[in-house]
Amino acid sequence: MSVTTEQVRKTLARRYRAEKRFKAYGICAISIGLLALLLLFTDIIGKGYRAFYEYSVALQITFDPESLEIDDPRDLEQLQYGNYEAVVREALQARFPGVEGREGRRALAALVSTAAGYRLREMLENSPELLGQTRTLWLQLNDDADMFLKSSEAKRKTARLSDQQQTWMLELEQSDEVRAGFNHSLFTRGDSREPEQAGILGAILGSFFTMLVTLALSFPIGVAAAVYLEEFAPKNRFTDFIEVNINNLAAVPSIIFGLLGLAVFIGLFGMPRSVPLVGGLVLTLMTLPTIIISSRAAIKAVPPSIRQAAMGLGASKMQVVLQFVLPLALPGMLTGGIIGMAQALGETAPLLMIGMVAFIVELPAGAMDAATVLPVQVFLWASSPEQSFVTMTSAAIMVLMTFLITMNTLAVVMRKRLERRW
Amino acid sequence: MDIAEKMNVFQDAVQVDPRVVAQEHMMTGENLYIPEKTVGAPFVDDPKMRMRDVNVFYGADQAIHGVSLDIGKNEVVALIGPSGCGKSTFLRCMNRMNDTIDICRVEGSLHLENQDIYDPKLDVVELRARVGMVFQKPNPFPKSIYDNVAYGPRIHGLANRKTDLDEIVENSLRKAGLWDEVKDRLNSSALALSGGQQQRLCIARALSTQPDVLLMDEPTGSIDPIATAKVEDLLQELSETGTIVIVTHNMQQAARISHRTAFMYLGEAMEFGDTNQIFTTPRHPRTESYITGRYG
Repeated sequence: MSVTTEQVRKTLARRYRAEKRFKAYGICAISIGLLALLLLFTDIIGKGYRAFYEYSVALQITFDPESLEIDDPRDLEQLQYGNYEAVVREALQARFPGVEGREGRRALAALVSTAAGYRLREMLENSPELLGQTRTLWLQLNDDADMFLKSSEAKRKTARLSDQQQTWMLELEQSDEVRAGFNHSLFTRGDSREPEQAGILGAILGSFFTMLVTLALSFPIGVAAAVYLEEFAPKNRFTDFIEVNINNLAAVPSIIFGLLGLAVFIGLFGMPRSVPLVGGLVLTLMTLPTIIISSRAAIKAVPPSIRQAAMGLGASKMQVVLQFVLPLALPGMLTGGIIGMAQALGETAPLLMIGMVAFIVELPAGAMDAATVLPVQVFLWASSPEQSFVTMTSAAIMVLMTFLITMNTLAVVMRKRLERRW
Repeated sequence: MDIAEKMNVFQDAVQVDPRVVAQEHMMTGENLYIPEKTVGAPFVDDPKMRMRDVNVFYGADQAIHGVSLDIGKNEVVALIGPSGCGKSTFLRCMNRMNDTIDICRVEGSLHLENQDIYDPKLDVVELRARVGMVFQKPNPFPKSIYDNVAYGPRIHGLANRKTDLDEIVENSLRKAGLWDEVKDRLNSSALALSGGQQQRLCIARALSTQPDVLLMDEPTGSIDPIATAKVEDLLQELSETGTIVIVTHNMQQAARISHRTAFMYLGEAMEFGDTNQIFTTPRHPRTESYITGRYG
């Protein structure tokens, strides 16, 4: 055995040990990351899944013209001022006849959501012949009653219902007069002070319009800037200065972009507050550096041999860029764009500064309507005192996460699909 | 005699011939640049390309030192020499591919027939259509075989009708000896071809614009021997109708295919002459040591 072989054998075991150790560190790091993710998801899903269903109660509703104060259901003015709560109250009192006194009656009426009244009005508007008839209807419960039913035995004692209300709820539960169903209002409504009536559609639409503005502005501007800097700009101090500043911009805290938006777009240009257009403009400024940097990296990754081949054939600079560099760099640019968009979708701080944190009930119909966005909705609900908003917050986070995961998956799939090997 | 005069005399005495210094530096591996006169026959009558006193700088470094030589009509000229001697750099001056390198600067006069290649008024697009180039590594576009060959004619507007374009594509592929292998799959990706086929496709692509001069930078440097043989056959055919300048590391290849050979060393053209003469009776001692394999 030669000296070298002997030396090699001696060190071999140590080398393998080092390799194993290194691998173990890597596995450890990944496990910690996955564990944190798992923890986050179990916590959010554990809290949030309850917001996706809601309880309603079966009540014998009599559309009594006297109680409703409506004699002609075709008269819209009468419909508008109808006393629907009275009908619901009477139905509840009919179900629990023993309730005496104003306090008790009020506590009883509080079990059903005020949304029930709106529903009755809608029914009457659609079918006026209901007036004077009696129907068994499933009416939405108030958030506290809803939470009581959703809670486990142990937690029911701390529910925000009085003892009397709790006994009523238990009675209804035992006689199967309550049932759980999908929470439609979560996906069809805007924000509300009443948790059972609040939805995230307003925030989703606000996010959508904001993202639309951001995408339409930041992607073309970012790609154009990257192409110019990478392909056409002379290499001098000025372009170096620009490059340094683009990298700096990527590291600027997002709230500063919000202040800039407030000062420039709202203050100087007089744009309205709380609108997705301004939100999109601010997020464009914020995403631009990300898109420029990733687009430049994608352009740099185009093999020089392809450029040389095209130039050797007499293609002009413009032809090389448009026909070869851009198509080959596009997957990388798109990936960067989607990641930038995902970043913008999750951004809260700059939007607070431009007033997108307002309480807005109406669904926005365009980029010029006041709106809020998903992460800001999470922020708003998280700071609301009602117990139900805790689950609503988690539900909104789940919806936001779904969008983010979809976008990031799209980025990966797109890169895999469009990537060319040479 | 005053002090100043004494100093002058002293300086005269210590002055040495710079050529001697250069020689000494070359012995020790350093180089100090006083261009040597090219040995052999660097010039021809009525040349296709005429290069005089070409200097190329990369930033502060000089890569080519006063090279002067002619490329004759319809001849194959091989540029040989050790790595880093400036063969490729010199080749890339001939169609201004060096323009794409920011720090690169070219001095001297280069003419294609009577056209000054570095005339600021000259459009490089036009020049590169006349002086085609094939690179060391096959670099087909990530497009179909047809589109690879049709690209040049398309951007220069050489074919107005589809049938004309088809004809150009077929002729170019035939000249490159690739037609029979790919005629049934013209629309499949060029990247699916083998390395040797890709290189012949690149040659077909370079031929598609019918260039006056074809520059080849080690065209067989990264393909296998069988494919190399095919490319060499091809070059021999092409030399009947056109001018080819080929950079090669393979001396047998240079001997087989070229009419004249230039030996370059440290950015200078040491010797330029008839290929047979260079490989049998080299005049410059460095040429001799290089082709006999003493270095390089």
